Amino acid sequence: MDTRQRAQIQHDLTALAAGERSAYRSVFATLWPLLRRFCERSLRDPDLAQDAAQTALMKLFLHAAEFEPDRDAVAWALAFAAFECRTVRNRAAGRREEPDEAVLATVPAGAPSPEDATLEADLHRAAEEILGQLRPRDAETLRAALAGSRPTGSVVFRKRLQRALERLRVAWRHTHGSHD
Amino acid sequence: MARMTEGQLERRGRLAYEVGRAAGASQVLLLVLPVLLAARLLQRPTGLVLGVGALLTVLGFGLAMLHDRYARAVMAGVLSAVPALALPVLFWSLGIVRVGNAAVDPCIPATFVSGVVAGAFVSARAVDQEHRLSYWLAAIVAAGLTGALGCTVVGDVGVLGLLAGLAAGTLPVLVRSALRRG
Repeated sequence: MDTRQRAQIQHDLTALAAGERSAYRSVFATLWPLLRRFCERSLRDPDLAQDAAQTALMKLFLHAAEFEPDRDAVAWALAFAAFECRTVRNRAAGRREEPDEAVLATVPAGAPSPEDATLEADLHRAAEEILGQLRPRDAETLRAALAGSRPTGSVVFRKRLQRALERLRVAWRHTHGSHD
Repeated sequence: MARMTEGQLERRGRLAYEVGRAAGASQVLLLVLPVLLAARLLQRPTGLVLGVGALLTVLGFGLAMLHDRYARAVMAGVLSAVPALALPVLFWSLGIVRVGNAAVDPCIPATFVSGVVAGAFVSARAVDQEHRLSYWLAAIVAAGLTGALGCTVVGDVGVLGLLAGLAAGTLPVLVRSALRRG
C-alpha cells in the first residue's frame, strides 16, 4: 500500500467514523483485501484466514464510528485482523491441548506426532524453497553435504560448502527474517 | 462464521456499521433523559414531559445516528435550553412581582431572555461549523423542544416568548458572521 492509498483510506475511514455513508464502499473495497491478505499470511490456512478476516471486518465496522482521526487507519484496521488471527491460533492451540484419544491411538509408538510431522514438512518445504533461490552449484554442494556424500578430505569442497552455507543464511534471513 | 460472498460481506459490514453508530448515538440520551427527569422534578405535567420528551429523544437519537455533527448540534441545543427549562418554572413559583404600582409577571420575560441565550449560544457554535444551516436547524429544534418543557408554564405565550427569544438571539450572531465574511 503506497502513501497515496494510505492517505485515502485515512480520509475515508475518518469520514465514515463521522457518519459519511458515501465512504463505506471505498473503505470496504480497500480494507477487505488488506485484512484477508494479512490473515492468509499470518495463518497460512485459506479457510481459517477467510474466517478470521470476515470476523475482523465485521468487528471493524461495528467499531468504525469510534475511529479517531489522529490514529493510523491501516494500523487500526490490522489490529482487528491481528487479534482475530491470535484468537484462531489460541483456539487451535487449545484444541491441541485436549487430544482426541481415538486419534492418539492410531499414532504408532515412537512415530512423530501429527504436529511434529507438519512442522517437519513445513521446515522441509521452506528449506527446499531457499535452496531453489541459491545458485545451482551451491544447492548441489549443500545437497551433497546433507546426503553425506561429500568427498573426504577435499579442501575445495569444504571451502565451497562454507560459501554455500553463508549464502544460504543470507537467503534465509532475507525470506524469513532473523531472531536478532 | 460461514463463508460469505463479497456482496454478502459488504451488506453484513454495513449492518454492523449501523449497529455501531446506533450504540454511539445512544450517548445523546445520556443528556436528554436527565433533562426530562429534571423537567418532571420541576413539576412539569407528565403528559407534556412524555410527549415532548419522546419527540426530543427520537429526534436526538435519529440525528446523532445520521452524523456526528448533528449529535453535537443536539447536545448544544439541549444544553443551551437548560435555562429556558428552569427559569420560567422558578419565576412561576415566585408569582406576580410588584414593581411600584405595577404588577409584573416575570415568567414571560424569562422565557424571552432564556430564548435569547439559547439562540445566541447555538448560533455562535453554528457559524464555526462547515455545515452551518443544518447544524443550526438541528440545534435550534432541540433547544426549542427542551425550552418548551419549561416555557409552557405560562401557556402558549411562553412558547411564543421562547421562539421570539431564539430568533432574537440568533439574528445578531448571523448578522455579525455575515459582516465578518463579507
